Amino acid sequence: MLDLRTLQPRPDEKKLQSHPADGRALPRSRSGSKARSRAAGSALRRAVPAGIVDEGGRLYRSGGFVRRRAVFVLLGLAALIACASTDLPPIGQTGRDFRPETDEQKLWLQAEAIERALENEGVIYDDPALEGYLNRVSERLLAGQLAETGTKVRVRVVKNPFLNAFALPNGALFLHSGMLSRMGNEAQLAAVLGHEIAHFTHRHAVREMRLTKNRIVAASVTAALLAGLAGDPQAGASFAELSQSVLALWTALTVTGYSRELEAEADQLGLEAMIAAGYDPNEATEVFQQLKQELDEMGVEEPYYFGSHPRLDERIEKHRRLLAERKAPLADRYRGAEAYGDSISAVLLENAALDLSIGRIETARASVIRHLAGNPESARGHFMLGECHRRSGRGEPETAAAVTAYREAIRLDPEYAEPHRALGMIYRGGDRADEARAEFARYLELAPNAVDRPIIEGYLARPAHVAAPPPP
Amino acid sequence: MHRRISVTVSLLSTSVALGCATTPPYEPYQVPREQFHAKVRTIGVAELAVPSDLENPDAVKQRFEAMIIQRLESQGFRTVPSEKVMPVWDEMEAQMGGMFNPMTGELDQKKFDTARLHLLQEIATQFGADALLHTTIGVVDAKFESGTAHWCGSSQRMQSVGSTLLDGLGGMTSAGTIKATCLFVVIEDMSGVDLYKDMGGIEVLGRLVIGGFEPRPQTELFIDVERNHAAVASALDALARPDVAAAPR
Repeated sequence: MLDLRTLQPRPDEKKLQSHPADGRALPRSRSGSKARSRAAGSALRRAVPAGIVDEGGRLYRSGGFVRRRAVFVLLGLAALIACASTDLPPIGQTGRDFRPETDEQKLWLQAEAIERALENEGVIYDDPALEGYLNRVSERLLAGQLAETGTKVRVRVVKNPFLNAFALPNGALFLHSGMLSRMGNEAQLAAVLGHEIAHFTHRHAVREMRLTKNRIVAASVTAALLAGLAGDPQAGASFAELSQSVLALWTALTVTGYSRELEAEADQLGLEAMIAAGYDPNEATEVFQQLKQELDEMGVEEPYYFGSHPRLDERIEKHRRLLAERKAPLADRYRGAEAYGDSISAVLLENAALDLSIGRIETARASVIRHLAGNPESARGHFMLGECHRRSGRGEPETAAAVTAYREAIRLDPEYAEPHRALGMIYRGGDRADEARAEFARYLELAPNAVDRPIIEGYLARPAHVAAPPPP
Repeated sequence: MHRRISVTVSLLSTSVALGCATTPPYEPYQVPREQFHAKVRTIGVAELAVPSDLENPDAVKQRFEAMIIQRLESQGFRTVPSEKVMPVWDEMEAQMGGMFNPMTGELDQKKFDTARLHLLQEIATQFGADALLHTTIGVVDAKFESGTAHWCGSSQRMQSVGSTLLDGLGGMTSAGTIKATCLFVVIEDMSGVDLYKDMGGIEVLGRLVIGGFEPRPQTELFIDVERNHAAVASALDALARPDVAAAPR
């Protein structure tokens, strides 16, 4: 008799088991023929199930005691001498050409590879004007600190709707479009950039890597000595694996955050830099408060910038304390709301599309409304507003609002094809065949090479069989 | 002396493990639960995807789809079966002249994505669907230890308790990996946004023999009704609408 209790889900294991269906693939097969596609199971997502015929698995049996005491004790002693210094001068402190140390060079090489990979994957937002603006803000914060070093900071935008910013060890800084979209002015941007620049100039990646390595060495020494004395063949055996993985750890660290101490140092240095550059430092507190409030309201747990950094309340409190401790007056300082708003206007719409793709309709709507506030004649802005209304799925009022927004987009740009298709789909679903046909015809007229032309022609050829509304 | 140090090592390991034991439970909802239930009343069911070398795919698909539909309906959802959903896709695929580049055999992603969004909107129009459920039976590695395999939130005992104890008394331990089947489910809304993802382990694909595992014949697979139902329950139980009583197993 099968014990059903053994079949109960174990959530932790579900978490660990990777879900293969991360893509969205309707019938997919290599042949493309319907017959083969259906026979293969019409894999509706990107995942193609692995074959059922297999070797059956691998089984390892172990038993008895193999005494390798001497090996582990020696391993432990050897590890004792491997600790590396974490006391490194900041880049630019000596004013001379900067040469990264040997292990740091490896980090820089990996950073370059990451940069290339990001470019190749097409996740970098291509907007030279925006990049120029971001780099000018970073230069203002650096105040010539890197002039003689042969290094430089360059800021780029990653198409990603989540709140994050990170600095690679080689001075490449990345801001997520989601982060840019939710900040209010240039001083807030300076707070985030100042923090990330400090990670680079104060060489946090190599310091963190060495700290981690030293901790692993210390832990391995303990484990190896104990294991060696105990004659346990298993314990301590992971030392080599751990050492190998140290270099790889840096990527996660630079993207997901450093230790609490280094994050706190970056906060303080960033704040000092923005004050020296003439920005209103209160905006540093403001940006964290605004973002925290927004996250609370949305009930969103974002993965990076705040999740792994010192807790947000703690950071806000520390900023307040640092500002209170300053004697010099900090009134009438630069915020730069207008310059910032102009520079990120296009990103707002791009990021709204990303938010829509993950179902964050209200976040998307807020970005679109902000874009339209500065660009009331933006046809794409109105189209995106229509998309927010349509996708919210709240029935007739939202559908009517979507129609109004699409119509406004068409009024502003009569050659804009997409709103016509969107209107056609709404009318088709609403059993308004004639209006749907007119919109689809106009869409094909404006976009004769549209990928979905054959499907739209199918809609034109026959009316939809609209489902009766379900019973309440 | 050895025993004392072994105990010390064990205690250290235990304290480390306890210190790290903060993994949150798996959350299948990709959007807030209330948002899902406010939006989704009718779910279209896409055809189950199965491993390509399965010898009796149609029987397995029918068996699982029947269980899936039964469970969804017991949870208060209306359903649109795959026999209605898939012809819409087939028609779109035909209209588009296929989804694959005839020269390279590669999937034309742009065509595919466009057609997929039209499919979603069309099943909303034709059948009033609010979401589409994708299901896949995949083969994964299950962790085997102490006579039991664990994967996809499920487990299956492969060795009798007595046999495991005897091994233990003899100072022997067995561990490894074995292939197992898992039911993966994804529900997306009519704009292609993932709303829900979960999974349930079905069964292991091998049996324990002296010196390792041997594959089970395909005739033995997917016929254990209780395991099949348990996998469907594991994948879909979190969907239960708050206003509907828990579904019976």
